[in-house]
This record gives sequence, structure tokens and C-alpha cells, in this order.
Amino acid sequence: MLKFETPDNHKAIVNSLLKGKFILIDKDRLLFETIIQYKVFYTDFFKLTFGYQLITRNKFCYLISDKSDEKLSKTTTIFIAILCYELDRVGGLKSIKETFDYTIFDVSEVKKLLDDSTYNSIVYNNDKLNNLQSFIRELGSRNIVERINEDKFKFTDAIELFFEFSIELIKNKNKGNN
Amino acid sequence: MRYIDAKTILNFITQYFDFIKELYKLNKDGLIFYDNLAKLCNRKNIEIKKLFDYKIIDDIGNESYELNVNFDNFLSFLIDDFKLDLPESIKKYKNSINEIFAKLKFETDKNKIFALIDGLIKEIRKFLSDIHLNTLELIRQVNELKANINKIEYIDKMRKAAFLIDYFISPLNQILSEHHESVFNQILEISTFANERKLNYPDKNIRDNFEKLYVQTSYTSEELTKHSKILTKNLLPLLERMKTESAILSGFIEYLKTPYLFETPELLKKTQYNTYTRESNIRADCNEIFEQFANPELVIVEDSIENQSIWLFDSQKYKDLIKESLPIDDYFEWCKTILLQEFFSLEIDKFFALASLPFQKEFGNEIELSFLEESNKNEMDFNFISANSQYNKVKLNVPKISLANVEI
Repeated sequence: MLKFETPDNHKAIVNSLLKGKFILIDKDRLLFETIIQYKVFYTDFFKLTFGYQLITRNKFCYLISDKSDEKLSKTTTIFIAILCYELDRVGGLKSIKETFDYTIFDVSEVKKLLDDSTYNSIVYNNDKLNNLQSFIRELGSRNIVERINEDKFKFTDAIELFFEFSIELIKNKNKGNN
Repeated sequence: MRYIDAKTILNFITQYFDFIKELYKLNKDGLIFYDNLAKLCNRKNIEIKKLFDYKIIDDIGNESYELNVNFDNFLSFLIDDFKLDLPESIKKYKNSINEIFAKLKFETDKNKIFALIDGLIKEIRKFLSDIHLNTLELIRQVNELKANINKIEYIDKMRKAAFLIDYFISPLNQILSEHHESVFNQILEISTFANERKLNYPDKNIRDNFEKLYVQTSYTSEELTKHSKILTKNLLPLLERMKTESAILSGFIEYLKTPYLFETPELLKKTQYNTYTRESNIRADCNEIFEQFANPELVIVEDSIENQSIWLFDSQKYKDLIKESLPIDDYFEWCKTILLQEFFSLEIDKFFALASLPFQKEFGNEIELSFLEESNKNEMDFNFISANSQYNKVKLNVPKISLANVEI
């Protein structure tokens, strides 16, 4: 008879990842370290049970599947991209990474930044961004941001994924130009 | 040529230093043309001839002039304005140092050895001075770029960072690194040679000169190590970071041109899975869903109790009904069914009235009542109207009991 054994915190790990959460080394060190320790087990577990792929990185891990939540992903990328552009434009962005690592953002200030943005037409046409408070809550439920309170939030290490996307995009564009 | 005392020239420079700086700037922008030079001299009331006498400028023909090279270097040193040398012009020291060293190794003539050691020290000092000036200038330019003093855009910042890395820092680092063909390695080789000669050479004067060479090369290698560290540990990572950061912004700007055309990072689409128990997943997911729409508001039903017909419990009617229906496997479930057949909803007071009948002393003697196992419970939703006329719902776990005829 097969005996099913799991590492400690298995239930919490599976529940978090299946909800589309990023497990962060800073926030959930115990869960993160368990996943890394039993990486082979969890890779197989999610692949064979759900057909999902476990992605582990230096500071976070998460699941992906054939069906991506495109709407959330696109909106998040647009949100970060506009924020980045506007913070640079108003001159407050000395270092992108440091700014996103250490700044506590205020929802109403961010809303104003988006409304006044050069790219505000993209914001107006995106229903998630039109309800910023709810969108930030959604990002919080995924651990992409950490909500300090109802009005304030900061980005987590998961933002690295979107930075990498951007670097890759410009690299590919430059390759195409050459 | 008329001999001019150095002090006279220095006095002239001191007196007309603003003029000299303007001249330096003209020269920096390219050649100095006669018209510009004449205008500048007229404005400051200075004779052009003096500039030739003091060897400040050279005539290079076609009514064009340039600052004397030595004077240009002196001024750039004075006003701390230095242009980065191309690494190629620093590499030239490798050949000159190598050539002198090759001769020195096999030279036996005393005077020639003196000359060669002097020449070698001079060349090494010039090399070190160039490295020093270039590193200082690179630090200045990188810091300026980091603080973005000129408020240049990120794209340009990235280009400038890439330019500094590719054209100056990386090649300079090659010159200073410890590979066998580097100038640094050559200096180490000379140092070892000088160390051996300063101890073993028969002639004391020559030994002293080798000592000078050894001191110079030791100092130089230490300085080069320091400069190499500045390049690799400070400047290079800083510039690499700027390059990366600029790439992030450039990528986002590119993305925002057509945001819906690109495939963005994959994020798991939430699916409801009953992986463990109802408690662990479904309830948690429901909570999350309801929290999003949570808008707590008191629901008040306008109808007053007075308007409702008052229900009188006809116990005999239900006792008869129970007897007719015996045996009843799940009595409370049966109550629910009966009440729902008769009334619009399951109200808790009607339920309790009916449910309590088998527990009444007299009626209880007429039927056999038995409890089923504790785990067998039904979850039932009841309606009730509270004292302040609010319409409420309550969920109860109701045990299972069975009723049967009394065995005689």
C-alpha cells in the first residue's frame, strides 16, 4: 500500500500556491525554505497532481499553468510600467530598484499619478485600474504587494519578475534592430 | 628666440588667468582660429605676440593655432579638467617599458645602465600618472552620471554607462589585471629583477639605482592594484546597475506603446480545488470572494409582526400525523418536510413546537424514540424574526432520531 508523506507546512504551501500566491523568502521564510528543500517533490507534486509548473527563484516561488491569468498579468505590468515611467519623469526615481524596494506607496497618490499620466488613456480603458483600491487588494492577495493598511502598500520581491520581463523585451527589440 | 624667465610667464598666467581659461576652452572645442583669437585678445587687451613668446600657443598654419601640449596638460592639471585617454594611448606604455627593460636586462655599460634605469622610472611614473588621472576622471564621470547632474534621460544615461564600460573601464581593467601580457604583470617582472639586482650587482652606485627602480615599481604595483579594485569593485558594478535599471525603464516604455500585444509574465489562474477538506479550501475561497463584495448593511423587513397571522400550534393534529407516519427514520428531517409542505419557509418556532412533541411525557410513552450516532447530524437553515423585527437566518446542526411504534 502506498504511504503518502508530506513535508511540514505542506498544507499551507499548497493552499498558498494554488491561490496564485507568490511565496516570498522575506515574508514566508519557513514555507519558502521547505519548498527549496523539497524542490523535486514539489515540482513533481504540482506537475502530476494539477499539471502546474513550480517556478523557484532566489527570493520567491510560484506556480504557472497553461492557463495564465492574462488580465491580471497585463494589468500588473501596465501598472508597474506606468508607475516606473511617471516616477522617473517627475524626477523622484533615482534608482528604480531601490525606489520599488523601499517606498511605501499611498493609493490616492498613486491614483493621481496614473490619472495625470501620459498613459492615462490606457488606465481609463482598464477596468481593474479604474478601481485601484480593489486592484491593490488583488495584488495583495497574490503577494505582489504587501498592504500596510487600507491606503498604503509596498511592492514585494515578486516585482523582480516584471522587471525581468521589461529587460527581456528591450533586449529582444535591440536584437531585432541589429 | 628671446629667453623669457619662467616667473614672467607665471606672472602673466596669474594676471590673465580668466583669459587663459577662455583660451583653454577655445582649444578644447577644436582649433583656435585667428578671428576668435584676435577677438579674445582685443577684448582682454592682450598682444597675440606675447602668447607666442611665452610658448603658450603654437601656429599650425592656415591662420589656425592650438595650445602648446605641455601648457595644455599643465592647465588641465591646474583646473582639474581632464579628458579620458583612449586605452590605446595607455597601452603604448607597454611597448616603451618593455623595450627599455629588454635593453636593461643585458646592458653592462655603467652609464647606459644609469640612463636606462632613469628612462624606465620616468616611463613608469608617466604610466602611473595617466592611470591615476583616468581613474579619477572615470570616478567623476560615473558619480555625475549616478547623481544625474545634467538631468539626462534614462536612455542617454544607459548609453553613457555602456560607453564608459566598453571604451574605458573594461580595456583599462585589462591593462591593470594580472594576466601575463598586462602592463601590471610587466611592472611586477621589473620589480623582481630590480630586487635581485639591488642586492647582487657588484657596483654600489648601480645597486642604489636598482633600489630606486625597485621602490618605484613596488609603489606602482600597489597603486595599480588599488586602481584596479576601484574599477572592478566600484565603477563597474555601479555602471552595470545603471545599464540594467535603464533597460527596465526602456523596456517598460517600449511595452506601453502596445501593452496588449506582448505576452506578460505568467500568473496562475485561480481555480477552485477541493484539495483537502471543505474547511481548508472552499471556505477560504468563499471568504475571499465574499470579502470583496462585503458591504455590511442591516437588512430590515418592513412588514411588522402585527400584520402577520398568529400561528396556533394544533398539537393533536401533529400527534396524529406522527402516529400515521410511524416508523420515522429521521424525525427532525420529517418535521422539516412537513412544515415546508405547509408553510412558505422553515421557521424555527414552528420547528421547535413540532420537534418537541415526542419528548412530551404523555405522548412520549406512546412511541419508541431512539438517537442515532452522534456523528449523524443534519445541517438546517432556519428563519426567525427577532424581537426588533429583524429578519434573520440561523444554521443549526440537528441530530438524527428515529421514531417507532411502542412494542407491546
